Amino acid sequence: MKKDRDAKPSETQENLAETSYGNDYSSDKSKAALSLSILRFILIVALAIGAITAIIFVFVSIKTNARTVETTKDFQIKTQNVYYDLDNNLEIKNEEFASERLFMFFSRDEVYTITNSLWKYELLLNDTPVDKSTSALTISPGDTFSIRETFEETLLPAGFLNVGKVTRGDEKDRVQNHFGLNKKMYSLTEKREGNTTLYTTEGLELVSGEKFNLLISVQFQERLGFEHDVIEVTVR
Amino acid sequence: MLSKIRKYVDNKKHFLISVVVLCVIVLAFTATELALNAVGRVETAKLKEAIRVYDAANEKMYAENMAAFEKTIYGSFNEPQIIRIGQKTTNYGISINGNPLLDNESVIYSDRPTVAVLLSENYGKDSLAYLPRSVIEKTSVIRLNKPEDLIKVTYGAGMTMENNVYDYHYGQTLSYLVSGLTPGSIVTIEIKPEIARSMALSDNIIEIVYNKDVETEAK
Repeated sequence: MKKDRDAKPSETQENLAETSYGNDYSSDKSKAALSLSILRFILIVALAIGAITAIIFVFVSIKTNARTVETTKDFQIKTQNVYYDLDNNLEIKNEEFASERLFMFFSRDEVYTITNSLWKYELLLNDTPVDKSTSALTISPGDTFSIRETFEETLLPAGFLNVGKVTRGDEKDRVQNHFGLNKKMYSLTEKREGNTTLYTTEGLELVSGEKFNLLISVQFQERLGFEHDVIEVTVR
Repeated sequence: MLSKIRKYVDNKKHFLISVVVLCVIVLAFTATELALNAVGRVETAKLKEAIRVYDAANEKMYAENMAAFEKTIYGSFNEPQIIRIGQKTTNYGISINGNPLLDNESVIYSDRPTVAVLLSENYGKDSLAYLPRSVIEKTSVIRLNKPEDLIKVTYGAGMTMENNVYDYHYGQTLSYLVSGLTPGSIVTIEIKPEIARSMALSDNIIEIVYNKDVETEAK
């Protein structure tokens, strides 16, 4: 009892409460102590929930703001790119736009029909055009064959115009695939100047008296307007 | 477990520390959240502005592209090719007395002494996005052809016909209004085969019969 009298009021309160730890809730004091404990517990739980909610909200806001900042940056970069293209790549962008749209209105075959007349091809022997009716040629050691590819000046976009080439705009195809010298080792060098591209044989070793065939593809024959797709070549 | 919790909450010191700490956390994070909200509003405004500037830049690019495309079309293609480009995405529709013409209809009964045939040419929003407006308008079949070349209307004596063209942003409508029909009169319309084909009509000749009884029977 002496101990109780000396104790501080709060401690007394605690002791009072402690009396009900043994689950004896019959007295009013015990009930009051239990109610107080429940209220305190509810307050702590409510504050804990509030704290957790506030923390979650803060993290969500941080994430949302970071995403907004990132998206803003993306748009700013995209805008810069558009302005860069407007200042520096407008011609290319205009061509891409026109090409993409024109392909919506014409099939590839129709594009070929429209654009093939804009491309001219010639087969040259030492810079001199080979006659269209030729079926046999006599050449000298050191002679070179060339293919001259020329396109007419046009406003058509390159992607559309290129379909008119002998390669029909196929990126995997090359002019070199449409020309061949049977059993001979050589390469075709490409030289572009304005609207003209010249493909010339290089490293072609010709021996007097030898014979071989010059072969051209059917498509190329048609474009050259040649009567034959195989021309017999004799070296003097 | 319960007694442990109770012991903890009944301990004034523990209770007060817990309440203070939790209050501080709630207040601190609520204040931070409010500040972040304010920052969020500013960032959202910046994002909206960035999108607006981006759209404006794209519109500028689109205008440049379209102007160049217009030059390409007029400078590279002949008249029939331009017409083909312009008409490629145009849709056509025909209505007779307010009802759309269906693909298998060849005889239509009218319950009134007038026949209104409407030929609509609809450019559509897509066409206007794909092609310069000048190309679409220049190649409009209604502009390029006389009304009688698009739909030939044959009607009996005593009847009259008038044509009108109505322009609207996404297309045009050409009307053929035949009036003065008497019961039993027949009006024949012959649609230009190209238009009938593009509308997938099985027949390009349609007869419209003025039959007063249609109205009576319906009633």
